[in-house]
Amino acid sequence: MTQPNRLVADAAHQFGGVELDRSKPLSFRVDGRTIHGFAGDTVLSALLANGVDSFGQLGETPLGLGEDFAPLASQRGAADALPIDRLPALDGADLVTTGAKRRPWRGLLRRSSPSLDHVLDRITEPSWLRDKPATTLTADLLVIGGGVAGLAAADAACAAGRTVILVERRPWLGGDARYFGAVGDDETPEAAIARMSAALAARPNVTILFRADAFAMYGTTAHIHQIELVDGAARGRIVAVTAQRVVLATGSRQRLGIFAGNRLPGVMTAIAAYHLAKRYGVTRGQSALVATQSNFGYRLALRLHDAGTAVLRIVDTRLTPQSRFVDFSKASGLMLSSGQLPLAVTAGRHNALRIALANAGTSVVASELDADRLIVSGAWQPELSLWMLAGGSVEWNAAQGRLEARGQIEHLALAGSVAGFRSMGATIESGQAGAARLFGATAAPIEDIDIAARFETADAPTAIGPTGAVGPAFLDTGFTLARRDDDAAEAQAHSRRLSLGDVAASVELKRTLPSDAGAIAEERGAPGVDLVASDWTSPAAPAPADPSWLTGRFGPEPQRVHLVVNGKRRFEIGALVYANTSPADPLLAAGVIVEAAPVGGIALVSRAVLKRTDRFIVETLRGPSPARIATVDAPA
Amino acid sequence: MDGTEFDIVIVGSAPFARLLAGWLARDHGKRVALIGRQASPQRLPRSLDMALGTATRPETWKMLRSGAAETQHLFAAAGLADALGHTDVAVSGDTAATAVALDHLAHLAMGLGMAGRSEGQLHVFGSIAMLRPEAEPKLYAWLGTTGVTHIDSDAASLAFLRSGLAELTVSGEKLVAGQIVVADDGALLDSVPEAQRPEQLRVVPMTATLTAPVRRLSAPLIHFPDRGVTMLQRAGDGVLALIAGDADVEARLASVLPGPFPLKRLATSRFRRIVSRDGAPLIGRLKPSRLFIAAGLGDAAAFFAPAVARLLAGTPTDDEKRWFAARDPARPSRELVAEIVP
Repeated sequence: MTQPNRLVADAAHQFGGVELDRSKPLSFRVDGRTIHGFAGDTVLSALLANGVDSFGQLGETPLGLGEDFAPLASQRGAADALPIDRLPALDGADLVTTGAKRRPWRGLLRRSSPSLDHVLDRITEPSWLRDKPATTLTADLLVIGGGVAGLAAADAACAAGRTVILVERRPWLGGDARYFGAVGDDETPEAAIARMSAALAARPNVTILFRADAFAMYGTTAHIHQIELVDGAARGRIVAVTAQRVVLATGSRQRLGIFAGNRLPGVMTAIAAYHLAKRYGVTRGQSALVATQSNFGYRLALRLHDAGTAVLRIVDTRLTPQSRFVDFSKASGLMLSSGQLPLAVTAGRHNALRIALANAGTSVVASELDADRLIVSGAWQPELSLWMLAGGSVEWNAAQGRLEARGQIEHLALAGSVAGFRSMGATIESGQAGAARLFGATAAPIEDIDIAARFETADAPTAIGPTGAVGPAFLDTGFTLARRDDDAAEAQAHSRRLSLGDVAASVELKRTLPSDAGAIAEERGAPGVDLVASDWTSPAAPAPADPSWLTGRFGPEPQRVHLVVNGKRRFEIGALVYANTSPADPLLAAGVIVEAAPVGGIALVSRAVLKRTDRFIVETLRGPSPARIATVDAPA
Repeated sequence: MDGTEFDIVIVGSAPFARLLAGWLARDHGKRVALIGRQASPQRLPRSLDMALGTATRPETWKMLRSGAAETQHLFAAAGLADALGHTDVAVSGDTAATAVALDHLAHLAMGLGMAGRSEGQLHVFGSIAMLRPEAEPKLYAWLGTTGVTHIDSDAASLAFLRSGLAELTVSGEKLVAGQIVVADDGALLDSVPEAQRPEQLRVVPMTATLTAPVRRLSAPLIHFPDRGVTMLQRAGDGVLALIAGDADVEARLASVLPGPFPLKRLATSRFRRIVSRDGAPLIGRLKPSRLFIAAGLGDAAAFFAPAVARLLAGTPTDDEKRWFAARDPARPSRELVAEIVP
């Protein structure tokens, strides 16, 4: 079986992969190993389907591949390295991943390994972050994020006759809305996305850039890295999009709980597991344990169960949670545990995970399970990185357990979950309202009604396992790799960027004051553009004849005198002048050399001292020198 | 606060405020409350606390030298020896005006017996005392042993009555204090309206930024007064830079960095600092509020704390009395204390 982690094509809930055309199998090579997939796969989804799910090792810890933690790859011999989560799988491609690898000579071993074998202590940063744009596009409105809020904003602006550029990182529209499903009789996310996508497709005044990642904001210009297919080959380009108005509909990122082993291959967020199954028919092994703090974890578990995954248990940090999804899970015969959370995860036998569970508030192993996957339905952090790059502020919301946007930016609107909206209706309305506000129209207040809230248990804070378990616990997914056991010195070294999720976790671990969280997120999340070589020089400032900082040093109206010794030696500016009977204490200095002279130096000397003596000691950097007055100048 | 009375309430979160509170409680037996907040370690520093200022007045140098020695003794006695280090500090005279001033500073330092050397337009001051930021938690812990009452700044508010008097409330109750000291720039900016601040003070926008590793600097800490840049090379070879002003920030910083370029930045924050127009500190009571302010001390502030504590406790030496009197906000003429202003 070449794709052991691929679900069957007709799996329930379309978990066979809606992006795939199974009638078009393909194969390509990555670092010398052959990978099989289907048209519609990304390189990442095909690797995962083939059982390659480890990026490499950080020290001795293997870390899992994922949408926000994957290497770049380039066609062998080419320089254009592209992120594999956005790179389409193309038949016959011969790709090489970028970065240091372990055991490079063991090619044969690597071909059967589940790891890309990268050395994760030294991760290569994409070179395009510093590239100049190849193309500039302009529009009345730039919408970043093709979820329901972004679609609604783009559609509303188009309907009002504005030109719009919509940027979406993934190769499909709709964002994460499908994961949550419909509430009551509301329009389903699937239907809403289809409706708005169709409307946009019919509009002549919108351009949609897929596989396009906005990575920088400079005033009203965003820089976007896009992967496009040209003559059957993938290539990257930097596009500058200039628009006087911007809607940020960048969504939210699901966080992991904080427990040892939370970044091992096979541990993933619920949203990642959902998209892998729904878009690409990708699973991992046969069994899964779902750890959740919210009701939607049960919804995913039910769907995975229906699609053929053996859901061994649903573990909830909340005690006796109430939800329709809990009821459905019970009715489906799934085993539920409440008031428990993962304590530690270690690599088990046959690529499985050994998952130790603890009762909340304890550090004792209550039970252990072996599963092929641990799916963590964690808290959500609004994706405010671009907001901060645009100059926006953030602050900690203790009630919601997340960093939120603070204040406003005149030309920019936040829409959807990045602005804190939860229900699909409110998310859509916020997109429409954001676009309207930017063009000077008024919008009706948005009602964000969570119908289920009255009957169902609310989400719990992030699950935090006890300390002391074996293996590192990471604060977030992604490349920052901040760990729970990083000590205070590491935190103060500021040697790495911190994600918003890292900062949120740090607050929950009580390492960061809630009042500092926003400032820290801004400091690390928007550090500014790279510095380039500069020939800036200070404006010329001539030396003042009578610097103000000498006023009063040597009494009222000190005298300028020319001091010399033996007709040759020169005294440097700043050398202190003492009466020859005085100790060399700067507080007792009688004067100071203020001007160079061909011999000796011009000194400013106390009049009172001049009345007493004409013999001086000048303390130069080379040592003391006797001096006498050659000439007396006018008073300073 | 249940009607608790304090001899002195200090408002501020910078090391100067903490040390001042500690000195007053430990050495002068004062009942002290400190209104402030310990910053999270992940935040970028806003000052590089070192016993060196761009001061040309020998009496200021002497006070700073004495303060550094006293701080070292205090830390040794309190088991905080590792909170204080010593480092070489270079100052660059880029313009003729600053080069001349730097010549004067170099000779003053030599006259006081300090090590130093000149390298081109740099003068390196040897072995300057410097607070280590990583020792901050220990400093807080020590403060707890001195009997200082710590009050979170969120719980306190400073208001000005119509008479101009300042009134401090904590958790809604008026705090009885013999003296209120506004001890750092943040506290001054937050709690003293611009109209109440001395005209001598002005606000300077500041940027703190941390770069990825760069080539070795010619000294661990270098100050460029003409460019408004101070930079410290940290473990791992990244540079922490404090840049004054808001024009050409990146260009000024990059002009003194050795590269390689382009150079990534890891963190950046913006804040404000208060400086005096004549470069000299303003320390004393602010009429009519009766607040005591200590402003314009720059990165050397922490090392003035022992002397300021003696002033507040009523036990300054004669030299200190003269020094403070010359820098009192109420003093009409400041010609005799003016310092370098790049």
